Amino acid sequence: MSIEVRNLTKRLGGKTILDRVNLEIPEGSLMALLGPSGSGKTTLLRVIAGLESPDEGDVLVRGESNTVRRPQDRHVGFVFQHYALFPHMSVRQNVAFGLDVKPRALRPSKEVIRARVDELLELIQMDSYGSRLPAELSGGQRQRVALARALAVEPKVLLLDEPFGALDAQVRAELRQWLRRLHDVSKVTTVLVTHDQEEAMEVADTVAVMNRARVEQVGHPRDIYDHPATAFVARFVGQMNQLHQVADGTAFARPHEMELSLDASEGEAAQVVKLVSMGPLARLRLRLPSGLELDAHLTRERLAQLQITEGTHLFVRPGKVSIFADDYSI
Amino acid sequence: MSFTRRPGFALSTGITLLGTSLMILLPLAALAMKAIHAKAGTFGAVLSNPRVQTACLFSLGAALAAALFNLVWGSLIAWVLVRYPFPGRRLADALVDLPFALPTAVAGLTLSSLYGPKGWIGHLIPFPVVYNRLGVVLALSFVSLPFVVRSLQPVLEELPREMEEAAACLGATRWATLRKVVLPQLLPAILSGFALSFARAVGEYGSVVFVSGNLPFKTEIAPLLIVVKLEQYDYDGAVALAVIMLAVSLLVLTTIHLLHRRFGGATHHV
Repeated sequence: MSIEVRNLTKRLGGKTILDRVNLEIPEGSLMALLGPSGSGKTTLLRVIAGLESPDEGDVLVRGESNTVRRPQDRHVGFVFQHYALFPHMSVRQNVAFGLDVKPRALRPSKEVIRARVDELLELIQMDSYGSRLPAELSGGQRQRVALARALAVEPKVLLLDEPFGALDAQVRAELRQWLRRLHDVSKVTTVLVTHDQEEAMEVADTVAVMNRARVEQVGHPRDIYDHPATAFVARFVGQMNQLHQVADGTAFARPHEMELSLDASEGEAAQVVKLVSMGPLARLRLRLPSGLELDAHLTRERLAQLQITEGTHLFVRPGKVSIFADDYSI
Repeated sequence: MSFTRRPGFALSTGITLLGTSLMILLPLAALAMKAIHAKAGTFGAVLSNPRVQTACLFSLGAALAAALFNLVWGSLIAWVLVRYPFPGRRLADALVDLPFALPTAVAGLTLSSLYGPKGWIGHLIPFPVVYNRLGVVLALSFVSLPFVVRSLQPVLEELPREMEEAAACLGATRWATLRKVVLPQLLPAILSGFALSFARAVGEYGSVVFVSGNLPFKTEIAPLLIVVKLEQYDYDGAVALAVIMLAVSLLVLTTIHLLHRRFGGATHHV
């Protein structure tokens, strides 16, 4: 089901949390709402879910206004950062909850519910955990149960609020790959809120970058990285070195686009103050005589070639520069 | 690790046991001693006395009724205090403890004049409220109200709102959410509030004597009968009655405790 967010505004205690937000989420796609905390991304998700009502604007699901309906009638699956599982119910009872509470006329038979729960437990690879209580599961398992619970009612839209935020890095990486595969199979229109750019880049078809109550840029993950529309996006998505002021703004360059040389004719003098070498990439922190610090990434080969260690004096020059108009709001 | 090696074990356990012994076990043991030395046949005589039987049953019944009333009313108060911000909420919250602070005799006098036939509230109610069994339940409810509120409040405050939002998104009505998600998690706290409320009501004396009229076979409660026996220098009879009430109360509290264990298994939030 496609979702269309139209001119959505939400204020809370004199603060504008969403400022005329427009967003279109195509049918069957997976969109990430990416932004720092306080950018309004979670509020936007909650308005789409009907857990908050907007002050202005509308949310259309398949062309129909959804803001007038109660959350119960919106057919939205919502997954919370802290799982929000029902602690007194077993895994099975949690997953079956949405089916069990359907009005009698619409409620499937006990056998159908059991079969559906079996199917979902298999999908989340937790067939043998049905009788456990949530307290007896790990964080990653709990979140998978929460996801199965949301999927049980076959929602039109799946909304995930920082679903992996409370998990450790390794489990997080596993779960997001799993989520992507799940989405490829189920094709439920999904919105994922995250502050983790890697997560957004890896999982989503489309990324919407939010900052200070507004959507700054919507696009394919690669386009957002390669062609950031604003200075905020450039700095928030991937690393960015802020260089110098130019006539119409400020110049920025990515760390991997910094060119290093030992030849004085090529760029500005700098000293390596920190060198971290892990995997195929070496990460350098350079200090210019002006006090400005820059990040540079280069391959192991290039590192060996230049014989760089901490303390080495060298010359640096940005290979590619992006210029953004000054935005004093950052 | 052996539990005896935990730091501070000996000292803290010693102090705790000493305090418990001096304040709780010793008086109860004295009561038991007195009961053992009572004249042979005292227990039988007391137990078979119809006035005693009526008073004991009424005491227990009235305490249960008051505890049940508080279960509903106290839960409602706790819910409103936690969930709805309204002007004067802090004041209302502080008022809940007042029945504890007020001397119970004052509570009894106040209730009997308010709800008496000519009282401000009493004259508006078409049936008599005080000087009958209803009056006793009213007084017991008043003095034991804070227990349910105060046991429930912290649990309710800790209950994540997300749980109810999750239920709503899954299509549950407000009523289904309350019944299937919220109440089961509050049950242990409600039960312990109920137990405390009951225990307090069974032992209450001060307020009841002013609102009950103290009519034998009608509104006489067991603690009052104990005082009556003491005034008649019937110490053995008083002790026997005390032991009987103690045993019955212990039975009720143990039952509630077992229920608590039965429903208290999954209260940690996830």
